[in-house]
Amino acid sequence: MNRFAYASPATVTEAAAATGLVAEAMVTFDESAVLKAGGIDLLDLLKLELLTPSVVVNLRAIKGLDAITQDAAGNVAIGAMATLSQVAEHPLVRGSYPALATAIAGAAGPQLRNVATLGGNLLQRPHCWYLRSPAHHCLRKGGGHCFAIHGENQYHAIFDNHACAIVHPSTAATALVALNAEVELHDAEGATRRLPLEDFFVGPDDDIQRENALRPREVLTAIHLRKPASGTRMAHLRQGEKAGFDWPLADVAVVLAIGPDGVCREASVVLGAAAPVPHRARAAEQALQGRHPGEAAAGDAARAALRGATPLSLNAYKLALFETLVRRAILAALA
Amino acid sequence: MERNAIGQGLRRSEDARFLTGSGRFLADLVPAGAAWAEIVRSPHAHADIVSVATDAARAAPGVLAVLTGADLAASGIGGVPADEKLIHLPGTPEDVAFSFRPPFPALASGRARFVGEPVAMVVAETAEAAAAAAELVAADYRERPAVAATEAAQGGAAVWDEAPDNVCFRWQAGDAAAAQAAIAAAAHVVRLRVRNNRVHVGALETRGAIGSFAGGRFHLATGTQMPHGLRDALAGVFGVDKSAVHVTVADVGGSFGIRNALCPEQILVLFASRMLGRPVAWLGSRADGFLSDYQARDNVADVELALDADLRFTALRVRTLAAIGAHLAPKGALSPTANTPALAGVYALPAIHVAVTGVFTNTAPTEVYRGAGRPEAVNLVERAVDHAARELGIDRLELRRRNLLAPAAMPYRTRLGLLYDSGDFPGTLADALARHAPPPAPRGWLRGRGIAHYCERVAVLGAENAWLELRPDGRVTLLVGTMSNGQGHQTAYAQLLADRLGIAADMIEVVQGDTDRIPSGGGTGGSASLAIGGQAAALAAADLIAKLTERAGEALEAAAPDIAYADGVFRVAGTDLSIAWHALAARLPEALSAHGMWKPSGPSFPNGCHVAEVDVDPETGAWRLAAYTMVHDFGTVVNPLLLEGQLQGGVAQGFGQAAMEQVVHDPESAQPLTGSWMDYAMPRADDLPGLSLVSRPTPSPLHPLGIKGAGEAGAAGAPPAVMNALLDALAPLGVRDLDMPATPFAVWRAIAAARL
Repeated sequence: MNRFAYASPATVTEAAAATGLVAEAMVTFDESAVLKAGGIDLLDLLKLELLTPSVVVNLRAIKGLDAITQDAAGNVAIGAMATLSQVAEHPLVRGSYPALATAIAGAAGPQLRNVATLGGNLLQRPHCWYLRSPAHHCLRKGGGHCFAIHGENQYHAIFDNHACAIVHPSTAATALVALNAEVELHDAEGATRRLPLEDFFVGPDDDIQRENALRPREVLTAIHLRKPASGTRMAHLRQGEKAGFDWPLADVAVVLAIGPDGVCREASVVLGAAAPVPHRARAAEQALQGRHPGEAAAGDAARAALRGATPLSLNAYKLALFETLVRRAILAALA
Repeated sequence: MERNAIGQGLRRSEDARFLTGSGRFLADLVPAGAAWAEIVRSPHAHADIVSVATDAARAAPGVLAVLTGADLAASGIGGVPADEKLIHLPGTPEDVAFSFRPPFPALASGRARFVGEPVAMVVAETAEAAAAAAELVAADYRERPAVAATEAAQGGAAVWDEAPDNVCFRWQAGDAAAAQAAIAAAAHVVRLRVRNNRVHVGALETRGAIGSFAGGRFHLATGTQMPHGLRDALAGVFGVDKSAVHVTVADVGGSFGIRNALCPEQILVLFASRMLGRPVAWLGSRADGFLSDYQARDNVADVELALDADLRFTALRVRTLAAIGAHLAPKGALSPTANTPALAGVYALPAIHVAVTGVFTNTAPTEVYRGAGRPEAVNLVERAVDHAARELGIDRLELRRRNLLAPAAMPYRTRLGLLYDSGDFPGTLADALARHAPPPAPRGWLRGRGIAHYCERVAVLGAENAWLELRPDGRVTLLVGTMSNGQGHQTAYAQLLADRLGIAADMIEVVQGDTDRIPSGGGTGGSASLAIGGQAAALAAADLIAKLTERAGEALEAAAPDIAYADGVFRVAGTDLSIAWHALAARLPEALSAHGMWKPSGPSFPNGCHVAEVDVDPETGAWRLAAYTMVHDFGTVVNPLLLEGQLQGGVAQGFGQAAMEQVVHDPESAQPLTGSWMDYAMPRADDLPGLSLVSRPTPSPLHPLGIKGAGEAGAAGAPPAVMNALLDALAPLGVRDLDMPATPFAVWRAIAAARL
């Protein structure tokens, strides 16, 4: 780990200004300043020297960034510095967005969830073992190719994996994309912008040097969730190699808006650990919309979810796994 | 006075300091004024070291020295010493030998043979300065083709030019001709290939060493299981008398075998401290550990089990490829050879032959790990028995019952030369099945049950001595050459001595881990500490009581034979004349010493039967351990609470190997990919159900206290119990084979292959 200065500003605007080229720092490994939220992934990246910042900017001293609030219309805003434990246990989340609570409650272990933040969780780097290995100068680190595509790729992407086969590591992101969440970004001039979380994540085909759309001198401050329509059902399912404290092999979030007639008005089906960004399975959503969902529709949607997948040499297993999890998640949402 | 006796579940007296952060581990022991070392490791699995430029590092701030392999070679000190001979089992041809015993210098020179091999050491005023300067050591490598997979070793790139076929040794045991004849004549022969996955041990405390040199003597503070053995090995490395080496060990955060043997960094800190005239500390990081700790297991075995028409076993033949790694570690050949007699298991097996080829690969050296070859052997025989039952269409329990050794057969000499002294194997199996009460299976999941029945040979180390000192305040100090690495020796010895001495356990201090204070020691390994060290302590206690009885006679003006000791009081028989322990101790002019030595006439044979119940989700390959029962015979149990801890930990380690642990190398570059806890899975508490543990002790006839040894049993039984359960669950789908680790992916792949 290199030596670095430590800044702990009191406001978001100061933090954004202090970071300089924050966005590049998130993706190119060698820039001068990084933000520290919970510090969980950051510490690993520093120890591996995948990040060698000259300044670490702490966000913890900024008051109010961990608030979870509801507006008059019933929409919920989650401060980026809210810990995973706070989010998973909050009555507003458990009541209106149980799939998010489930997704977060399965992440890491209790001690980490008490420290890790939702913002940091969304911005964590992929844990591809080639990316994290100092011996592999991979495409994402400025090297010539992705080692996973012809290597040990059992944990890697089955979609959008032609250039780089990382998978997005956040299960919270899977649920939040399915819930059509938006992120709020705050820059050094005090201006804010909002964009759908789905558009916030950047895949390797768009830009191999980035994983998100954070701009220089910009800080992720909040995640916004719309009030669910009445009749909304949802579920998140994951499967790992062990009971806890592991990234998933596969996770699936399903959000269904069911009309009074029992017909599915809207459907969100999102696969995590399937692609470099949370993967929206549009064909699966179409298979559900306008139907009375049940076993048959769930099976059709599950098959449709894997349409277009391009598994690698060792991860075709994920096709069967996702098909099962999508079907079960739809049925779990309806249960 | 409180009476502490053998058999009580005393809580661990060490835990107060461990749980309050007042334990003293290696990082707590770095003396003021120590210099700090950083190791520069090979980034390549196999490469010529063209040059190592150290000028920039030497010129960096705070740097005191930069050492390379050339410096060590010029000094004439030795490398890491490995066993010179393979263990030869009686009744076996003598042609067991190393083909090539490579040198293992503490710093590589000329060629680096695994990622993580030490290439240079930087010593500086601070750890940070050492780490920064290590970045400036510029080694120029010319990469060579590498081989990581054990099955690819023979025919792969030569790790050593002297061994073009990558063979380190060929070894065999048993009767090849008898096995061949039995197999040729058999009504049935079942065959299977079993892979034993390479594991990273991952003790909680990382490795480290603090070396110093003063007054012509070396002092090494480090974690080890065998302080005296390490002292003797270091004396050999430096070519000095063993009296010139002092090894001390404080609290140790786990070993399981990795701290059994000398490692390069222990040599390096001593070398540097002698050169610099000040202490040198190396505290390895977790990353150092993943790359350079000795690893374990990693072999591939072809097993043949022959049966007659009545389905009685007639022969077992095993051909094993065992990965040695890039170097032969000190005990690197032990696990696949010396402990293979566990193959004989609990069965009447009229012919056994095992042949082992030890092969070099461009991987970290392998060493002993909990069970050291016995878990591997138990896995083979227990997997083979279940496989035979499935292939031949007979119930597994019936096949076992037909072939188990009967109690009436005891003592029984196995075809690999062991003399089982006792054991009621049919009774243990029946008990295990009777006690096993799993919860109902979830709907839609496949339920499977696996059995693993073993008989281990343990406590094979040599003699252990114990010294007691009684001070005038009545307190007793035990000095013994075994070494706790977290097992709870302090509690166990104190409890055992309290039982023998009739005083409270908290009046007894246990001292281990100091080769100056403790004249000799066999060390801890092979489940031997309590069986042998405990027996020595008991004999020392008897010696102390005898000496005190003499003193009591003087005090009470009576003849020693007329004095009886019980519950802290020496009493003249038939009178009311007595003197209490404390009063007698207070009369001592100085500390009173006593001694006991125990050298068992042979090993002991703890045994047991594990039953695992698993539930498998056939759609995803996910599975969980639903219930686990273990009926065991460890002879006399000193402390059931400590025993339960040992068994839980051992079963968890065995389950971890069966379920998820695996060192992964990139197939092309042989680069290790499992370089952190992010990529190497270890089981956690929520992966395991509560264990049902049932004690069925028969005292060992070889040790007066009757202790057999229990430290490794959990790890010995768990892998085959779990794998047999999985194969039982998957049998209805047509799955016949599954390798460890049985990740959900591996299980699903087996299901998918069976459906094709």
